[in-house]
Amino acid sequence: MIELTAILIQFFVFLVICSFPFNPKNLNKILRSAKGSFNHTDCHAINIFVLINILLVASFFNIQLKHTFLTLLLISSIFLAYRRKEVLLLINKKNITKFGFFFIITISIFISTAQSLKLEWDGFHWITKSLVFFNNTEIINLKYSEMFQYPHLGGYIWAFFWKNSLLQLEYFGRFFYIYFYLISIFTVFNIAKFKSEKLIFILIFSLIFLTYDPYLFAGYQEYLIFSTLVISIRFICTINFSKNIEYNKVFLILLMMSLLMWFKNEGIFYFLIFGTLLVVLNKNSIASKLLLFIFILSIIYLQKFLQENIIEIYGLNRQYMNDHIIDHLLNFKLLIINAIAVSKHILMASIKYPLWILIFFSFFFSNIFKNKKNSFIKYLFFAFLLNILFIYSVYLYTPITTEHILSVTLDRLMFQTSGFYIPVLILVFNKIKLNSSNF
Amino acid sequence: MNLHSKNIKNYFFYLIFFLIIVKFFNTSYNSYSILLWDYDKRMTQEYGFCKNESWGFYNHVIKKYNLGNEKINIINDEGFVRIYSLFKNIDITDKNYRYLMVLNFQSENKEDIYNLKIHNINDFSIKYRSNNCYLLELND
Repeated sequence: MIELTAILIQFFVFLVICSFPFNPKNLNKILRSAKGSFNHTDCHAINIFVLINILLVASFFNIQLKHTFLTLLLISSIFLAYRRKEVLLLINKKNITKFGFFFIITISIFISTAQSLKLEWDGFHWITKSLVFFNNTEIINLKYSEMFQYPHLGGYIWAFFWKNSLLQLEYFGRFFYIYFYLISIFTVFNIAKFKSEKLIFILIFSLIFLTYDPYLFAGYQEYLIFSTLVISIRFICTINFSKNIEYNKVFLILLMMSLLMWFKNEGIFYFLIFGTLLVVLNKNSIASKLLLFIFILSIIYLQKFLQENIIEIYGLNRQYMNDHIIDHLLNFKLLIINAIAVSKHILMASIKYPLWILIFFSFFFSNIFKNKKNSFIKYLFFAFLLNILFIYSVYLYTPITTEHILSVTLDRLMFQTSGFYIPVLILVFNKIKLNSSNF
Repeated sequence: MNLHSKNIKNYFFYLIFFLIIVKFFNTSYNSYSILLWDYDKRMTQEYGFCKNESWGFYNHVIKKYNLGNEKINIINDEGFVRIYSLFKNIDITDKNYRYLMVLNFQSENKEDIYNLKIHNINDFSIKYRSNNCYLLELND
C-alpha cells in the first residue's frame, strides 16, 4: 500500500513542480498570441521545459539534489497558492473529465512500470550516469560512466526524481519520462479542431496505443527526444510562416529543441535540421535568418564547449573521422548494399512503430504541393525528407553497418522523431471534418 | 433526446472508456501485484535469484555481509549484464578487489569454482554459495 501511495504522491509532485512559472495569461502575453491560443496543458508543457533547463544548469554545480528539489517545490507551491483563485476556477465538469482521463492513464502507466520494473540493455549504461548524480559526486565523474560520450541530462533527471521520491526507489526517477511523454501527447492535440471531447479522448488513447513502448521506458532516453519534438511541433504549428517572423515564438521553440542535444548525441542533428528549417522557411530578411542560424550554431557550440571543458567528454565517436571514410563512401557497391539494408530496416521499423505508416499516408492525403498557402505542411514535409536523409547518412557513413546494428538501433532512431509529424495526422483529421461528426 | 438521458449516455461512455484504459494497462492486476509483492520480491522475480542477472543473490549477500563500499568484482558466467548499478553503494573494480561474486557458474561441486579462468582464483575462499552463485573472499 505504501508503494501505491508513493506512486500517487509522485504524480502530484510532478503536477505541482511543473506548474511554475507560466499560466495561459502570461504565456499568451509573452508570445503575443490571442487570448486562449495557449491553454493550461500548453503552459504545463512549457513549464516542464523550464524545469528541465533549471535542472540542466543545476547539474553543472554539484548542488545537492534535495536542495534543488525543495527549492523548486517551494517556489511552485507559493506560485500555486498565489494563483489559487485561477486554479479553483479550473475545477469544472469539462476540466475534471480531461484531468480524470490524464490521471487514469498516467497512474496506469506508472503502476505498470512499477510492476515490471526491469531495466533493459541500454538502461544499465544510462543508470551509471544517473548514479553519478544520485551519489552526489562531481559531474566530472561522468567520464568514467558507461557510454560516457553521451550527454547526461536524462540521467540527471532520472537521479533527481529517484532521490527525491518518497521511497527512493529507482523506477520513480523514470516516472518523469512517462509524465513528460503523456503531457506531450495531450499538448499536441490542442491542434485538433473537433468539437467532440470524446473523439479527442479516443484519438489521444489511440495515439498512446501506437506510441507506448514499455521497453523504451526501461532506462532508454528515446522518449525524452520524442516528447521534446512533440511539444516543439505543437508550438511550431502556431507560427504563421507567411507573415513576418514571430521572434518570441521562434526563440522559445529553439530553446526547447536545444535540449535535444543534452539527451542524446543525435539530438544535435535534430536541433540543427529542424531548427534551421524553421529559420529558413520563416518570412524574414536574409540577415535575420543568418543571425538566427548563428544563434543555433552558438547553442550547439556552447553544448560542445561545456561537455569538453567541464565534463571532459568528447561527444561523437571520433574513430569514424578517419581517412578510411572517403574510401568507404566511394565504394558504390557497398553503398548500394547498405542503402538496401537501411531501407529494409526503415520498413521494419515502420511496422514496429505504425505511427510512421499513418504519417506516410497523411502526407499523401494532405496534398502538400497543391496546398501552396500552408507552409506548415511544407515545413513538416521538408523536415520529414531531411529526417529520412539523416537516417540514411548515419548508416551509410558508419563504416560498420551490420544487420545487427541496424536491427537494434534504427527502430529507435525512427521512433524518436515520429512524434514530430503527428500534426500532419491531426490536420488530415481536421480536414476530413471529423468535427462535424455528431459524436 | 433530453438533457438527462444525454448526461447518462456521457457518463456511461466515460465509464466504459476509463475501464478500457484500466484493462489495457492491466492496472488492477499490477496494483494487486504491487500490494502482494514488495520491491525486493518483484526485483527477484524480474532478474532472478540465482539465474539470469541474479538480482536476488546480489541483494542477499550485500545485506548479509554488509558489502557497501567494499571492492568487488562480479562475473556472470552466462554472459548476462552485470546489474551492480542497481545498488547504490558497491564499489566495482576489476583490480585489487576483496570480494569476487560469481553468478550462474554451472558446477557439480563447489570446488569446481577454482577452475574459473581467473589468475588468482586460488587466493580466494568461498564465503557463501547459493546454487550456482558464489561469493568469494580474498584470503588474508
